[in-house]
Amino acid sequence: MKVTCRPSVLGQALQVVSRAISSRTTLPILNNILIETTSEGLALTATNLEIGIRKLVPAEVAMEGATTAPARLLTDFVGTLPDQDLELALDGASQSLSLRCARFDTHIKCIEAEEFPPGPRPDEGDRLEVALDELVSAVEQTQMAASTDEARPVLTGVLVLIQGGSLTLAATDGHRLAVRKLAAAGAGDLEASLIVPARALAELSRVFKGEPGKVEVIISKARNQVFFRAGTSELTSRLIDGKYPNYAQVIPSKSSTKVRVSTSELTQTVRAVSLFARDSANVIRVKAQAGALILSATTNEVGDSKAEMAADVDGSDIQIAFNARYVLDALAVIGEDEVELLFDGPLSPGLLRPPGKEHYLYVIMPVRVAMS
Amino acid sequence: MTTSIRLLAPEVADAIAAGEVIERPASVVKELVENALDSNARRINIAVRGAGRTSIRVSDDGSGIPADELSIAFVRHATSKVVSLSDLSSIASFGFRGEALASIAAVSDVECSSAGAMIRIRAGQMLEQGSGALLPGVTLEVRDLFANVPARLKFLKSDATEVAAIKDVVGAFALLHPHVRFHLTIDARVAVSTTGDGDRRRAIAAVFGAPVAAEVLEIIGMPLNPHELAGFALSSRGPLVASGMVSQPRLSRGSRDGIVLAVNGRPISSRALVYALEECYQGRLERGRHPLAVIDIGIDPELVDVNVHPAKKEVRFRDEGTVFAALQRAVRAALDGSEPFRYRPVESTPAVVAGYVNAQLLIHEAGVALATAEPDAARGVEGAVLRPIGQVGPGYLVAEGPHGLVLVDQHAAHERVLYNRLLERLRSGRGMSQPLLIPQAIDVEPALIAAAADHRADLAKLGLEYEEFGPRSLRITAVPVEMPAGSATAAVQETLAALAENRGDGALEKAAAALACHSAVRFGDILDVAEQRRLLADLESTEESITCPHGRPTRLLVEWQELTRHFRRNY
Ligand SMILES: Nc1ncnc2c1ncn2[C@@H]1O[C@H](COP(=O)(O)OP(=O)(O)OP(=O)(O)O)[C@@H](O)[C@H]1O
Ligand SMILES: [Mg+2]
Repeated sequence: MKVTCRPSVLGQALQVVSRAISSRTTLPILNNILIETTSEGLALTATNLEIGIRKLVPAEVAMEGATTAPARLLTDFVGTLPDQDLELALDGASQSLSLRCARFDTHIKCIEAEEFPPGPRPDEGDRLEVALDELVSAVEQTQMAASTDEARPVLTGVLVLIQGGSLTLAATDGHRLAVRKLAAAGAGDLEASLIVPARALAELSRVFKGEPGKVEVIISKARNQVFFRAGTSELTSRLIDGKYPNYAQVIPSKSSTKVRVSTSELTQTVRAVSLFARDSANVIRVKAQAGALILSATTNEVGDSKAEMAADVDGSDIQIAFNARYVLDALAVIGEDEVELLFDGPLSPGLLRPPGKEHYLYVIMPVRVAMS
Repeated sequence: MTTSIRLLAPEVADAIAAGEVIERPASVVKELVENALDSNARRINIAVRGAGRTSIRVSDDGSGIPADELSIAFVRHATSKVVSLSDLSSIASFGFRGEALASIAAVSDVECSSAGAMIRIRAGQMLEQGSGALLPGVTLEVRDLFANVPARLKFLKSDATEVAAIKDVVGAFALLHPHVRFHLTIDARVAVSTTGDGDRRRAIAAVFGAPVAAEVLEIIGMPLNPHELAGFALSSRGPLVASGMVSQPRLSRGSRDGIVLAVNGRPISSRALVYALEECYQGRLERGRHPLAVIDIGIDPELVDVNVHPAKKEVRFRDEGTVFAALQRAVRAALDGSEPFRYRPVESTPAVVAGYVNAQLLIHEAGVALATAEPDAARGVEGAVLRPIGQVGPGYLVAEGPHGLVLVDQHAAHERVLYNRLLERLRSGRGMSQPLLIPQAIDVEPALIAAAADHRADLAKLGLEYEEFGPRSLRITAVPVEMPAGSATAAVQETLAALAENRGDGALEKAAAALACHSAVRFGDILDVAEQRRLLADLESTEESITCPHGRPTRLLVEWQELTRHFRRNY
């Protein structure tokens, strides 16, 4: 193998691909990045057997070949190089990869490409297409609601529901639920329900940064892998096996109080008031009455804080308490100037959504407080 | 061969009786020191040679024995301390049997002089009687111990063990009687030497070493409160008082041999009292670590029976529960003055001090340094403001406090904060819970299902609610508000296991500790500045904040003066 490329481009790709490497792997080969020549240049692949990332890097190929190089060392080293032509040459017999660039002449010990686990290829399976920015925002709006409880693996994933030509992403940790709908092209009458690890989806925006507008989603025939492909980048992930809870049944279907407020003002107020929610574990009280939303929190040692903000309030007055963090999580990703809050009594789930739109909703279970 | 029944020869009978009182060299030392204390001595010198088998010499400056009574003192059942049977119910002296000197004389070669007279007895036989030096007090030397009782001699342990037992005896008395000057030499080497100036902390320094003395907290004698006094209605004398010193959490040992308990100045062994003491350290010491303590329970002699064990090692209280309560209240009050763990670099340890440091002794900081000053009792931890500086390593917070740099173990600290908060909810019954949007089924063993059923109401106060869901499964419907989503499974299992294992006292505390542990930030979690500030502020305002509920330290203080010293800024 002998190729020439630019260290800046290679370095960036190495950094992204390295994200798939787990620091706790017991298989030494999984600490390596697979480097292969292709017709367009170099293909870099890394995997932790759960997720895999593959990126193409433009390069001049003088001699074809493949090997695997230690990810950390290679990434760190290439990152330090001046942006002049870098020549990579592999001595097949000794698996020594030489890197020549400017005044550097370096040799890195590699492991044969054959040792690298053959990842599944997205050649067959059901496929559809979604807009990249839509997908990235949908992931951002849902993934934070997924659980980290390894004892409930299903909830550590984001449910991806393909139905009626559109895609629905849903995630819950049992305390709150986030649901986002987005349009898909070419789905036809495909119906599928996948649970994608939230960790894998979290890599989407990084892997596809700078890639053009559309992402191709391919579901393996065995329904155990999903591929995302845009431009020259690829993210693959194992799917979580299991039955996702019927989230639809916890979405409130009615409300007795409807509030509409400015998203930024609410964010600021929740943040400020929650500083006083210390010995009550981040719990803030929310009171809605004609024309106003009143937020408050108390700590014996610190004092108390109360803030009132103008709001459109429709329906009956209500007093309800929430974990401020769950509220802030939603406000941070809602992406609208105004937000609509729907309540149905102090003990029933509250709902947060962009006013007048159906594509996103966020449900939070209120906290039960001994009212003083 | 047939043997007929006959009376034992007096020397055989005496040797057998002596066996009850005098088991080993340390018993001789104990009896002689007690006699000296009974005679109001202010100075007691003990010189031991050959691990006590060659010679034990004890001299005091007490009231002495009148010359004409010297031989009577060695007669069995001869005592000046008890006259009538009723005296036995209120023994205020160490001695009361009149057996010690007779027993010692039965198994050794004793020479005793006092008030100008001298007497020498070997194996119970008077050898010599005459005049002696006219010195205050009594001087008594015991030679060739057990020479006439080979069976005893055989059972003695190694010299090192016998010497250690002697040091323990003298150490205990020295600690309990700081007004008396004790001077113990072993083969002419000084082993224990106190000043007798009445300062208990100095006595502790002499016996356990200066580093220990710097780390103990004084127990301020706490009289009983009125309802406890009711049990003592019969008593006409003053109330019960516990006094002494106990180690603070940052000082501990791997064994219980730093615990000296006494009743009216008499060292006793009582498992129950040790348990009562150690209970006060729950949540302050890690499992397997034990406190150091010198505690003397002052109590009306009528309310305690010391005549239950031949060597008077055990006592019986008329109302044990009251004594425990008083001890625990006194110890807990003292522990409220505990200070945080301090960093002490090893290189500042003077070589001499290192000799004191027993392998079992642990001062949590790296190395031990001679404390330059007594711990500053006024230096409260409360109210001090910690300024967050950042997070280092996998999970330590760095902060600046009024006394120096403070390192905080974020998990241990948060665990303590949450634990106290949960206990408060348990007490007040004013719970707060996060009901689940989607209830969660958890598999649990049948034994734990039983625990779940028994403690439903208490756990609800802590915020944990559930319903039974088949024979091996619970449906969790609410969790404590502090518990992050995703921790419920492990938390519930561990909480129920704690309840199943610890029936009765302390079970709910253990359960709360399990919930706190699973709700706390983990070691390794990244905290932003606001979260750091919040955790530090919470830690400041919480009680017992020096350790987590499992007894591990929450923080380490690197004092300004330590930094000053290290960087040589003090010149
Ligand atoms: N160091 C001493 N100073 C003054 N008197 C002493 C001293 N040692 C012993 N005596 C006297 O000798 C008596 C006998 O002592 P001995 O130790 O045998 O008995 P006791 O102390 O009365 O009772 P016990 O057997 O319980 O110790 C004591 O009652 C006391 O009067
Ligand atoms: Mg005596």
